[in-house]
Amino acid sequence: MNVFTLNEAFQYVDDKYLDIVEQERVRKVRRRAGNRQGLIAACIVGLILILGLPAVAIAANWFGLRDLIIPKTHTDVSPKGDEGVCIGLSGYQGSAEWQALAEWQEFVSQYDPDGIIYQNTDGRLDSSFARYSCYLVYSQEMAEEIDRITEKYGLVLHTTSYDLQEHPELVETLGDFLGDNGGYYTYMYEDGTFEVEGTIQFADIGAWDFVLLRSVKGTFHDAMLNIGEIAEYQEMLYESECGVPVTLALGKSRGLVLADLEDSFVTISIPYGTENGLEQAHLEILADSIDFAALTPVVKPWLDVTNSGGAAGQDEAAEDGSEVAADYDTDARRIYAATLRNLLYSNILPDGSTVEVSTGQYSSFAVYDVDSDGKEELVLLYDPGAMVGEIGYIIGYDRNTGEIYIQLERFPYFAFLKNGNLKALSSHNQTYGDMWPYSFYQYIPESDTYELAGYVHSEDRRILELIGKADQYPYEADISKTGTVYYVGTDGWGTKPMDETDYMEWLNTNEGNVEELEIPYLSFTEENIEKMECRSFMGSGKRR
Amino acid sequence: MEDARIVALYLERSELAIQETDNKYHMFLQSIIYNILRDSCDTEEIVDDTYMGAWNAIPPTIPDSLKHFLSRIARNLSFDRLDYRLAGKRKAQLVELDECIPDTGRGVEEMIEAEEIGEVLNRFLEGLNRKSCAVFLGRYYYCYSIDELAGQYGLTKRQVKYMLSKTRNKLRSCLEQEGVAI
Repeated sequence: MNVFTLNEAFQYVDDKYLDIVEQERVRKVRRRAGNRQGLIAACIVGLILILGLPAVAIAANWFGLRDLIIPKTHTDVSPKGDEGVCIGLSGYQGSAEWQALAEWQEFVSQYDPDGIIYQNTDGRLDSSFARYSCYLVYSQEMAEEIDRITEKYGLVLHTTSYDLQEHPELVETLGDFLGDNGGYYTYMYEDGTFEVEGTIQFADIGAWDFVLLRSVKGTFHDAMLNIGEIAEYQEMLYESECGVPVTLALGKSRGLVLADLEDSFVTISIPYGTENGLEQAHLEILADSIDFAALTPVVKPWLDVTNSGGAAGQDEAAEDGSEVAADYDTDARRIYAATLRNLLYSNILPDGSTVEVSTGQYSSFAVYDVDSDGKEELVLLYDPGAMVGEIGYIIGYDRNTGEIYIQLERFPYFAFLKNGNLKALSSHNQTYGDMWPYSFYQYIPESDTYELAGYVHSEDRRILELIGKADQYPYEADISKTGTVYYVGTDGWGTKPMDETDYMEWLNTNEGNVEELEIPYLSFTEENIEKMECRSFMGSGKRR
Repeated sequence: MEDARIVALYLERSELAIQETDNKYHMFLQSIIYNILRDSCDTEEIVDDTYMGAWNAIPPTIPDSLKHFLSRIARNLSFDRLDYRLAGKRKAQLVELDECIPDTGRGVEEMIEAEEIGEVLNRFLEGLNRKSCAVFLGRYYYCYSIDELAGQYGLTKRQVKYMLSKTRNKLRSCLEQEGVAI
């Protein structure tokens, strides 16, 4: 076999794996849209579209789609020429949710119409905006306005967005509300507002995708949908099979099922309409296939962040491979939370030094027993957006003094091994080997610190051959003929090539040939810090 | 238009099939082809060739997923064009993939066809977590750049490189275990 055959073999990759490429991408885009900068960008686009709508008088209302329309506030034509109306997805006119959204949109439509104020933020906002991270809020005026509106209508703001692909357990508690329609979970907010994608199989026209959004009442939710021309829609009231009355709305290019439940508003949208062959009967089938009753009453999600993200059995392992339980130390978590807040709000790093930028977009943290000593450590990966400022800390807590101490400070790129040792990965791989270069650290339980055992990198014969430097490959050292030689240095990067057998022996001797832990990192938000901290009160004692 | 309907148009030999395919998948195909060729003129040409390939293949083939079916045609045609254009030089993705070919030192012991290796690949992908799978195929099936993958999956470039590096090593082990040899 050669590389061309291998490349050719990719055409036989199953469709389901190709689907994952797209699904993961969509998920990431959505999740990123949930963060501040993504939201700003996305909403500015949305704003442009909304501003571009022509003024159209809203015809006489009846209970249904028209009661969701968010009034137009501007008459410019959008650069894309998009037309149509936008509906709010959190409640009908008259509800606090709808009124708040309408008022917010009115403000937004006049505020920073050309995006200059946003541009001036240069994509960076200080930590005082953390509480608006689920919304398009990038100035003090906007913060004040959203606070005023939500207070006026007795609503609260979203605080946390969970990725349902990573935490499907949050939506699975709702049971089989999607019936046979499958479902691809996207996100859920802290109040139980969530979105899922499903596929319904119609006997006559095949499989059609849809999106279901449950917007929980009492929280300001700014989701909207451009539905095109309202006049194109035919609406009817219908009682679904589970006994819940819904509104069915069918347009040329979209179909909608709307359910105004006691504590939430549910919108199901199919991005196809009559011009694609969708009929009212199909919407009835779709409505019947959803168990709306299972969507109410709303139960707020509770995420056990300490166990999230990692697979079962990946918690801790002692040196001999047996698992040990990690203590939930309430005091430790309080101090860890304070340490994180020092950085989030005051730009103070764990070592006491200050930085210009607080947490940046990619900073994260985890509280986990990474060295398998039975106690949880704080792993803080500080990434301000520029590689030069990135720092990673492994922090322990001393119960006697009540203070934290830094066990290791390196570039924030760790591979923790199940026996407590770790590989501190380099910032770049500038070697001629495919293996990522790393510094290997052994955990020293007596001092609860790490000790450097060696710097490791490799060199691949093929890479050197491909770049025309085959003569540089140390063939004589590659006794096993694996095509790779290794370098291990103690005072710096090694210069003497080793055969793979010798490298493996070195690794085994130093207890480095051990499976890596999957660390459940959390994004650096107040909500996540709060959850980490609160978990200590709810889960005192041993993990198992 | 729904895929099943477009496929039905191909089966009916209606030229509307090409038009509907173009309406729905032009951008998608353009992006795959451009990722491989990085040339706008060639890209448009291969998009058209892809439609022709689909027209010639359906029937008898009735694809489960028209989208992926088209992507395979586009990918194959693009690499054919690349072979012609580069005549011996290799694209970065192929250079990286070369690392996955086991070097057993035993020479040619067994010839495994691409289809069989494809089966091995599928078994290998089954064992990956979703993110690694997406990034791996994003790189070696759809030929996205490291930058693009980082943007698409909310990762840093470094994370993408490390993830790919680990996945390639795993693939190499998997191919070795399956007895695939050069």
